[in-house]
Amino acid sequence: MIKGINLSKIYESGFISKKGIVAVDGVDIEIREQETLALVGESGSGKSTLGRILLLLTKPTSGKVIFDRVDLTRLRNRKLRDLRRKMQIIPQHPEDALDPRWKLYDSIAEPFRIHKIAGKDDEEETVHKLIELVGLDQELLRRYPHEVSGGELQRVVIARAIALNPKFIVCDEPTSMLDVSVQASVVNLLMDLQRKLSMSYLFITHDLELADIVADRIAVMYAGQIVEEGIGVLKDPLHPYTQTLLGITTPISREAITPRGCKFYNLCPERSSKCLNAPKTVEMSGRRVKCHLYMEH
Amino acid sequence: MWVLVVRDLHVHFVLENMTVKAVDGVSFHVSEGEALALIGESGSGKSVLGMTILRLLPENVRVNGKILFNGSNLLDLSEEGLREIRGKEIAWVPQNPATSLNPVMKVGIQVAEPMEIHLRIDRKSAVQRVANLLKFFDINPPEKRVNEYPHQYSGGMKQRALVAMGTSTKPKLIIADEPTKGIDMTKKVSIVELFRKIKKNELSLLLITHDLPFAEKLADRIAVMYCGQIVEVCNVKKFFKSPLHPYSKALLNSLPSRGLKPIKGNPPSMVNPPKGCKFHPRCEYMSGRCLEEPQMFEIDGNLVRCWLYD
Repeated sequence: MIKGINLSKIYESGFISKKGIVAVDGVDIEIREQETLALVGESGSGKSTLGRILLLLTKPTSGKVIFDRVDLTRLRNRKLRDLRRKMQIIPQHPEDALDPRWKLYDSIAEPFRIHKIAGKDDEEETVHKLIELVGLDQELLRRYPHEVSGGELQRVVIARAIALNPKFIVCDEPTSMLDVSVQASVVNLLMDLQRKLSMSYLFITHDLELADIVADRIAVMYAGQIVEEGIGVLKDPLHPYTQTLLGITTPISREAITPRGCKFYNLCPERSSKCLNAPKTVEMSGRRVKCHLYMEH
Repeated sequence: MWVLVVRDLHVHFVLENMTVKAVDGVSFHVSEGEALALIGESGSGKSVLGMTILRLLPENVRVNGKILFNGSNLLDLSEEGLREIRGKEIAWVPQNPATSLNPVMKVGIQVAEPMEIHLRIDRKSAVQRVANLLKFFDINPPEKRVNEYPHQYSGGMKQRALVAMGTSTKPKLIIADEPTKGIDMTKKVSIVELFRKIKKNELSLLLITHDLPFAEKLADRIAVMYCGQIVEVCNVKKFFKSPLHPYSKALLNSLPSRGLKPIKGNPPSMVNPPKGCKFHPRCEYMSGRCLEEPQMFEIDGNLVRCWLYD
């Protein structure tokens, strides 16, 4: 469905002496049809950047994004805009994603207007259908963003995201600002819609329990790299980082990331001299792990 | 020994054409060395309750009831008398560490301020004490961090600096408002450790949170708020094993680890709350009796506001 090959993003700062910050570091990622891949990791690990790269909202420094057999990184803007219908994002802060001066109706109808899809009557009918689909009352459409609750706002954003029948949605921590009970209903809605409209999700979260429930597969990100990926990652973690994330082992220090070799070296309870060289990703029974423990030497 | 006692507290916001009943007849107490977690959804009145205790709310709010601390009613104290308690006897750790520190002042000076004011220590030795505090709360290297500005701190470090500020005057009670909000799952562990550390110093804690796993790790007792009322006060072990109130049950079942089942219906309006039990329109066990307001029933030392326990 959508595939990222060797993706990297380096943010440069400074004018005379340039400093580079590597946000995403040589990531391969694939999301299959009607599948949910959960991307977990700490804040700052590059999860959101990776999600935005897959939608080409952020241009990768290097690497390819293949969507429906087309390399998005080589498309012209106009072609890309057409393809954008098929891919959407549900952001963490719904209140920032909607124009505060627009009625919610207009926000949901905007995709049709941009892509010149529906006429006025059609538009109204479709917007009403959408708002019903996300379980909201039609009366809400006449209100402004500040007049509804956070959970309702997130449903409005979801309605807009599914307006043009996308195939792929990046859900970027869609519930991290919501209460537990509201989170439960929004997540259930997302899973329902996925079944009804056969979409694929990249579900970015730092809540491991939530990831375990929504995802078919889980990818664990650390310092810009995917260190482990597959099915049952949280039940039977292989990578030392995943194990510390789950609290099975504790990191041995609090120092930051190592500049060379394995990025987890400074914190890893199982490190050895081999780890000063960067590990490769190895595949074993459906699981991909980036760690020397599992490499054959 | 009870450190804080709240009796029949009402907090009403009076607007032009309506009255918002944010806190509607709340009673509870916090014992010495105890951590009480006040949990509930956003809009249930938790934060308002916390702010009422320190009288941080604007003048036009109508407050009735009693808040007893060290035997005196905080609601009767003069602003000057209150200043002796606020920040010295009761510390407040606010929500949003990012917006609670002054961006153009060095963190060390800000953390030292309560000590200068309440313990009457000069700035130099206060800042020195701050370095020790920062070290205690794992902000390293402390001598360097004292002279840094808030933007040089990470989110978790700002949170810890605020807790350091709160504990610097050795208060008897700390009120922390959503200390884990917006903090990464992986960093929450260190916030839990932090509060465990300060609890050892015989402090009482009032944690205002909707983070149930966090409350489970830290609290001794749980008080559940719904629509401005406390509907259950329960020992923490019992609460997470078999809570009493139907709302508590529903809330726990909406956790990802317990099946992610949403509570049906919408949170109630604080302007026109439902008659009788405020949870009855969303409750699975609803019966005709629920249109009358239930009182608190005591079950093995735990309290619950529900007719099922009559």
